[in-house]
Amino acid sequence: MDRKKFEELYSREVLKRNKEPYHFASIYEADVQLEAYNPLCGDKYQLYLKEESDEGMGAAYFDGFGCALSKASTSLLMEIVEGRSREEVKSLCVCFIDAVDSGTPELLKEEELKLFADMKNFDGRLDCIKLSWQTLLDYLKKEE
Amino acid sequence: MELRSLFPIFENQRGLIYLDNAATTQRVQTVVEEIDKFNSRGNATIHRGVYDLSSTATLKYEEVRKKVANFLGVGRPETIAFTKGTTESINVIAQSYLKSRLKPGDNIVITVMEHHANFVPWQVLCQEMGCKLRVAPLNDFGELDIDTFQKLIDRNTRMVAITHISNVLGIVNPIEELIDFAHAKGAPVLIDAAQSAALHDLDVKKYNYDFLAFSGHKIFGPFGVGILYTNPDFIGEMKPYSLGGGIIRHVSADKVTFQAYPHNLDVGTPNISGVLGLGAAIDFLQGLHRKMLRKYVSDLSTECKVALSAINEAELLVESNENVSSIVSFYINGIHPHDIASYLNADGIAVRAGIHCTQPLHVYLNTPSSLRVSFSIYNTENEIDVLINSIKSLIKFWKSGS
Repeated sequence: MDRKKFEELYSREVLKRNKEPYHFASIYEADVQLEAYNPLCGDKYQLYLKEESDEGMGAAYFDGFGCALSKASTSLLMEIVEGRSREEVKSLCVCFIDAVDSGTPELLKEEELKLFADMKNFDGRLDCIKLSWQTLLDYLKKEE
Repeated sequence: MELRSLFPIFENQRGLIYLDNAATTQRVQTVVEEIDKFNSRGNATIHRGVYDLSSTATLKYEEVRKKVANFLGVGRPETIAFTKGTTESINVIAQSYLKSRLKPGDNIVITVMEHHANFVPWQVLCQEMGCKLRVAPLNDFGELDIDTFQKLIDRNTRMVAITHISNVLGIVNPIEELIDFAHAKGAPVLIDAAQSAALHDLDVKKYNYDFLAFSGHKIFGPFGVGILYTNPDFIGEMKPYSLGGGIIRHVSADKVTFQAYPHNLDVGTPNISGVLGLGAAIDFLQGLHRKMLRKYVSDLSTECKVALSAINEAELLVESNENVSSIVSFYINGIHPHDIASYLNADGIAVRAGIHCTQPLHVYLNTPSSLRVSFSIYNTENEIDVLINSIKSLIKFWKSGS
């Protein structure tokens, strides 16, 4: 990938979300607090989730430190989980992670998800994109 | 420069600006050839066969031991052991030499700038044996706080383990002085020479270290092979590190005895081609004017630091231009090191972003992660210009896009 492609990919969504991430704040009354941590690079986020009912997810916030890719993709995740059922969120996480790993963003329905899954061009950065998604998925699987 | 043409990677990766030499240096042509020659013409295992191919392999393997001894100014080749690398060399000392000598209340002294390889083996050993790990801090200039370091060493110190050159800060520790002080308190010293072996003369007579560890792949040699030097006074006390074939004297259902150091570390089938490649790397190093090359890379580092200092958003981990080696670490305010490394990669520049296996140091410096540029003998001033221009473009792009 050359500089032009880098700038194009970052300009589309990453920089905007990196600067103004969705719900970037800590909420201490969260029902669930998860730590998304990559020991190789030091990126660390706290995910704060409210659970509206046994089935559904409420408000989702996050804070912490990380690169633009992990921050933007966590921002997207926070926006997407709100109001969805646990099953829906789990299934979205699985699809997103699979799409990133296999480099097949076309399998995803939502445009913005496709965009992030298309970041497969960033060899060595896939863990950044998946970090919070994997953390949430691990939690949801454990809760089953 | 002329030396660059001796490294085939640059022939095959046109335009590559390789600035991650602290992680691994590139292979010199003679190393590649030596390994290829062994694999295609001389492949056999050592110490076991009576046939020509095996005895030739044994001879060449043991020749490298002598070569390394000569490289370190050591009179006795039997003080030199082959390991998988610096990390294993340090673990061998922790487990095979030190563990059985420790008692509760003893301590081990290290510094906060150590790589995890020279931190965690001592930390876990202390936890297991009821000992105290004492970690020397830095001074205000980002160098080792020598006064505090000296105060941490006492009559209960069983090991002092220090890096010669920090793999992040890039500063050269005054190991001669530190070793003398530790010895005055009766403590043996291990030097982690992973970052210094390529460019520094590590003559044991000059430094008087007790243990020295370095890796083949950071001195233009292959992966998976390293060196451990052990003071001849201690070699009789070294136990095997891993158990199996190749290190046995006698074994029966009731009893087992082992060969002496260093052969008690050659368990299983050793990395023979790696050792021969390491030998070729040592030959290469000994043919170089290393003092001149040391100056060459430290000049590149200084030039890089000066250029980075002129960028408002850049913050160097160590600002001083004194005591500089081949490593420069920094961060850019407002842009994460991984995003910078990806952008530089898009421009054909290979640098390292993250915590570089030094979490304690990054916590100490209150820096979540950093960007590291590390030079070697084949890098050029022009590559620094390209690096700096690329960083400036990124800052401009980042501001315009956000």
